[in-house]
Amino acid sequence: MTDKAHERDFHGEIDDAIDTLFAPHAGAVRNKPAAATAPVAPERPTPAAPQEKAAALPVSLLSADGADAFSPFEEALLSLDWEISASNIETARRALQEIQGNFEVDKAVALTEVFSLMDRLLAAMAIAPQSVSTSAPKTLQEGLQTLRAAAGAEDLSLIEKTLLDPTLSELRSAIPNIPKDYSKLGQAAQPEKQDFSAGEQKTAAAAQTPAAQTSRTAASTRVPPDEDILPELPVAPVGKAAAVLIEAVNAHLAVLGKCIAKRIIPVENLFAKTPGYEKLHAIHTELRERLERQKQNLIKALGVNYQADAPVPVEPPVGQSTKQAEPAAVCPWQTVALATWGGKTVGFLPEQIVYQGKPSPKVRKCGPFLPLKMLKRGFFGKIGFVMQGELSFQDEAVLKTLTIPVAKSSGAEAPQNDSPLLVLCRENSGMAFWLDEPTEQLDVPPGCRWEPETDPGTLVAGNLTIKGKTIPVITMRSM
Amino acid sequence: MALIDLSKKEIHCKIVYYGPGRCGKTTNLLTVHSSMADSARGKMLTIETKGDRTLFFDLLPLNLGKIRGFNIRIQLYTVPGQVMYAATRKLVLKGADGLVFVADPLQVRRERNVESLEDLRTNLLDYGLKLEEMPLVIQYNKRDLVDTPIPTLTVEELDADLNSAYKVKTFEASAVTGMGVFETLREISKQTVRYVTNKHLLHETK
Repeated sequence: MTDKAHERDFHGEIDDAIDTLFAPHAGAVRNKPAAATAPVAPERPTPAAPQEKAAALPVSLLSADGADAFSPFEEALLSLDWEISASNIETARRALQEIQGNFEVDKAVALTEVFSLMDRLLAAMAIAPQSVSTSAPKTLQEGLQTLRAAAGAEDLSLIEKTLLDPTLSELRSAIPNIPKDYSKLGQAAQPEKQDFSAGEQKTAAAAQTPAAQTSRTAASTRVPPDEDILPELPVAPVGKAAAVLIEAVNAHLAVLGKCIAKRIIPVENLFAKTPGYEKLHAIHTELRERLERQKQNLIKALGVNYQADAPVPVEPPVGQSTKQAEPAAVCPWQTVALATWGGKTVGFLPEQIVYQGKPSPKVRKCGPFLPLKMLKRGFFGKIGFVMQGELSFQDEAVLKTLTIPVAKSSGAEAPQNDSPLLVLCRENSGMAFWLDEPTEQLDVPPGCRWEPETDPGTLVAGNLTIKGKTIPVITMRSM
Repeated sequence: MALIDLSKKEIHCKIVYYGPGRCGKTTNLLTVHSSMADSARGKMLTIETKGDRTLFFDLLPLNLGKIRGFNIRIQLYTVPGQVMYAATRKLVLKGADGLVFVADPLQVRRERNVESLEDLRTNLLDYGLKLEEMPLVIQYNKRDLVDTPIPTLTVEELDADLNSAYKVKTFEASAVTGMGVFETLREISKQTVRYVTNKHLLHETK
């Protein structure tokens, strides 16, 4: 093959790999696509589409959206490859335990040692990262490939020699010798588990009556406890203790559900409608989703013993815990300034209004941008004197340099001679509006409907519905 | 510079999203992160943010898969756009293999776009690199604002300001809705991986 052909072939493979990775997410390509005439690559790139990868897997290892149970562990390994941190290790361990919990019984038993060694390697990375080889994430990746192959294999003996044995050997050699004293250090070093790990799931599942115990649980409890560095697995409770534990887990689920509904969701909604809190909102959403996942895991582990209507245990009153939950969406402001703009009634936030009034006629000809210096009165007047809010504290020299865009309304054209001008400002952003009429203060009545705007690119923070009339509330928010 | 480990057969490429403050660089990465399959992405690392502003940088590792036995990984970085973080911006730019310049279409930020592109060119020159020789695409972000009362620049104006000298591929995008985000990433990924492999690797794979 000539150099040119070789290069073209190689570039074709690159394009193919990138198209495969990004094509499911991309919309129509507006620009001229890159050279599509490259020859088809003989070797497909590794990250195949999830459905393709999942095709050979049993149903228990597939989620509703077609992704397989291995994906979270793969993601965690990629993160570990970048940074070995306690949180990344914890995520990986949880994902591994999740995979183990979803395996078929007989396979889970046969693969116990693989799971155990992988978990020990992760534990070693948490306890004594300096003694673990830098290739540990890669070894774990190979372990994952073996588990994936085992999940899809009809008979494990077929892959025993080719995959299982080499993987076990590599995992064993990757685990360093860590003295027993490290176990205490490890427990201290591990972040506090706020949610149920698979170990706890095993406890819950093992608490079921013998008849109700799923075979999956039986398999998972056969994992031999690690004597040196891993925390001991809980001993399966029997008889009365099991019933007590089931009751406790059911009560915990009831409390968890209540907390999510009454505590987390209202705060999440509050963040959703508060400008500038988008990231906190995302963090809170992730927290809720994680708790909901843990709740589902516990329900799954409880199986037939799950009681959806379990009584919520009486808790000592903490703060507002006994109060009734707030409505899902409450207007975040108590007062808005109502005005007519472009023929529509809109609301502004009084605290963001830095100027309102009828300026001199020459200001009306300012066009799409309004230099604030045009608002000063008289030759010796100061801009700061006509400003209110945060701009009233600003230096005159700074105010002289500020120019603010004028919002275009859909209805109006040029401002009328008596049109009042309103200027909003928040942090470094501002916008001017030529109103039809001056503003009026409105105290937002409790219980009125508030729908936050989901598109952060608009100036409308949300819509307020009062007595059947919907009023968009315009704010300067982060864009 | 790309990290190539021949013993492990791994290539790491660094793509930096550059642009003025608040143009949507982090939002681009967040959209990519939330849309990609778990198996192809790592954890997104966001360091030190104040409000909505990136103070240090964001990082999102992506796994492209294997090509000719080489595991190819892309690391997406953003820089802090605010003028005051010039040193950090320059530091993050070090070793970049590909660049996405994210332009803000607001009329009031017109000069900021031009300044930021010039800042990028100057910073690269300090590292001995020429912008016109590097993989580069320009993204015109926030196109969803065109239909709002906010005064925005047209694509022609943006082209005249930013692309008249470089003549690179441009993409209209709206990072908050996801429009154009992956088209941009796909193009810069292709250009960057080609650039890196041509420069460092092609002879190894023959």
